[in-house]
Amino acid sequence: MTVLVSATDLLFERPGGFALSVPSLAIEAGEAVAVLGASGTGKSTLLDLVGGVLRPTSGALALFGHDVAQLSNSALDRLRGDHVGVIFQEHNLLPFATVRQNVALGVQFSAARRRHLRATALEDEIERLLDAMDLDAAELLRRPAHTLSVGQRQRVAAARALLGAPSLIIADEPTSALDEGNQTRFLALLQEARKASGAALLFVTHDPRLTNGFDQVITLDTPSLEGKGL
Amino acid sequence: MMLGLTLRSMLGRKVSIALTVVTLALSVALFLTVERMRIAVQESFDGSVSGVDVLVGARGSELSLLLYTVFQIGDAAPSMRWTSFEEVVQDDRVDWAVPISLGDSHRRYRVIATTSDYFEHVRVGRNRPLAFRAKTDSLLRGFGVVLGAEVVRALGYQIGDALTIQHGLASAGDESHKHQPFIVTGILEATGTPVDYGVLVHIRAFEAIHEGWTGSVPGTGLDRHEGITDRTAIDLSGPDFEPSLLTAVYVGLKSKRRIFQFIEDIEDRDRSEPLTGVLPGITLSQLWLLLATAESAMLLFSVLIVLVALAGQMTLLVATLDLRRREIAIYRAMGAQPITVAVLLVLESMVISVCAAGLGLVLTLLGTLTAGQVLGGFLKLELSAVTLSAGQVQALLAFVVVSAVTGLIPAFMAYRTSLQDGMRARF
Repeated sequence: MTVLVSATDLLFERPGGFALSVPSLAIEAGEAVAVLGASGTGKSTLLDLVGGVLRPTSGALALFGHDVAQLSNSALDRLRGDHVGVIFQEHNLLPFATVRQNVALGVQFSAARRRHLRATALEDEIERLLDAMDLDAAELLRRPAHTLSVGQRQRVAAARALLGAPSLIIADEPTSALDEGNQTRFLALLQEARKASGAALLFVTHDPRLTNGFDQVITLDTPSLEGKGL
Repeated sequence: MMLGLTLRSMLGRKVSIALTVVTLALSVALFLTVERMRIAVQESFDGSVSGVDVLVGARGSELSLLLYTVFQIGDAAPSMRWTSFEEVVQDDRVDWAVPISLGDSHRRYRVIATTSDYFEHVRVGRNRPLAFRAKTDSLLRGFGVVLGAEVVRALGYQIGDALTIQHGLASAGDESHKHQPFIVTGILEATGTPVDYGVLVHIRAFEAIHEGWTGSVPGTGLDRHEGITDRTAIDLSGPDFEPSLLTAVYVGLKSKRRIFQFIEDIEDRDRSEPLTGVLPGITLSQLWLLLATAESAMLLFSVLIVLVALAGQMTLLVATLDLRRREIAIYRAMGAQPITVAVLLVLESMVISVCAAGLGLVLTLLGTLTAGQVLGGFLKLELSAVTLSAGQVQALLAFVVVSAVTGLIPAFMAYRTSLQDGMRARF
């Protein structure tokens, strides 16, 4: 299997004493990994490291076969745009844009993901992904994002992250704003859609109930504590 | 692609963006209007005396003579003797000479007393001859009167109508010449010069209505031609109606090379009446030089207003930056580099400035039309439709570039913020 993310003796420190330590981590293609932990344990920091936004203080980190230490900031940005789809804790759709425009934003900054879409028309792929997330594309495509319900917004955000078939989906507590029924439903739809596209999933949550069905569960306890898992 | 994203983002903040565009557009319009008016006034002044080589008048200030005779601005110029006019006519170097006598008016419109040669030799704009909208064969024969386009527009006269003129700049109630009506025999096409505001009569008819006057004291006020139905057929060629004084003479010379010698001769103190010779173009250039400092100050003032508006634009972009951190974080998460975020901000500045420049042009057109009416009333000039000079186009391009540069500051701040925030969009 292709290893998308690998880390050894990873340490990230911030001024003020915060530190995140991950002895080892590996995410393979198509794998679903859950990161479990309370607030302040460094879950989002881990996502920033895997997303190439932050650089580790020490240790080895390779993203999609590239040593992060050898990459420039712009190369990291390109890598993220080409390989990573992001779902935020809050949906973070552009309120001034329509559903279609929000989903299309997923390939706005990545030539590689746009190339991937060449075989399929952008409009068709957007509709397919909205359908996969159980949204009525015909009804919603032209609607401004701010007119959608919270649950709909989060599913549109998932469709945006999946557009252009990125190899890794990073989801930062995407279910925290949803009620229990919608949490389960959202996660099931996300898992199904990302499996269909072959993407790996790095899913952050503080709710242990949502980690069922994941290939790996990494638990972060408190800052400075080691990440557990592999 | 980037432009589409920028435009959508701007539409999400349409009220504040629209206000910024309007503010900038007003400043651009002010700048362009000031510049346009400056050019139009100069063009109109210069175009009012084209075709005239030398303006001859009584001894005095060259500028005053020119302003009073051609533009009817300022104090009345002293009169010159009719015999001096005849000497000018007889000068071998003179191709043509048109006498001009001013003083009376018709409902605030100046009466220009001259001869029919006026229509043949006086040019307007870029050496364009005067054209008639309507005319009879009589023109300035007898008590015929030719009206400028603006006079007809304002007062609604038609060919064949009768009108009386008032002494000096008296109000319409003055009845000094009520027994000596004139008949409208011609209406001129608009020229955009003071001619449009002129009421042109023959200099002999002008003399006839002042028959018996002593200075400004009226004579009998009676018309010796009373009872003659066709007033344009009245013969005024007799010696009784030869003027003794006139205001100025428009002179065309056979050879332009002899202009300075001609002026030197007519200004000769040993002449029976030393005169003043004015080169209209040169005297107007002196006027523009005199006004250059004031023009520069006005231009500087309008440029400062544009700069203040640009500062306002920058303030808006910086102020909204914090509100846009979420939007920027979304772009970053999608793979946008910090420089891409900065480019989006600069693009937004450019879109704002291009819109402001466009709206500013429209406002300039409206402003020019309004200012044109005001100038028309006071200076008897017409501002033509908006045509941008090369300098104005350059100024507009400079405005867009400076606006883009102004956008660099918030763009740099966005760059820094996006580096710090990364793809964290929880604020």
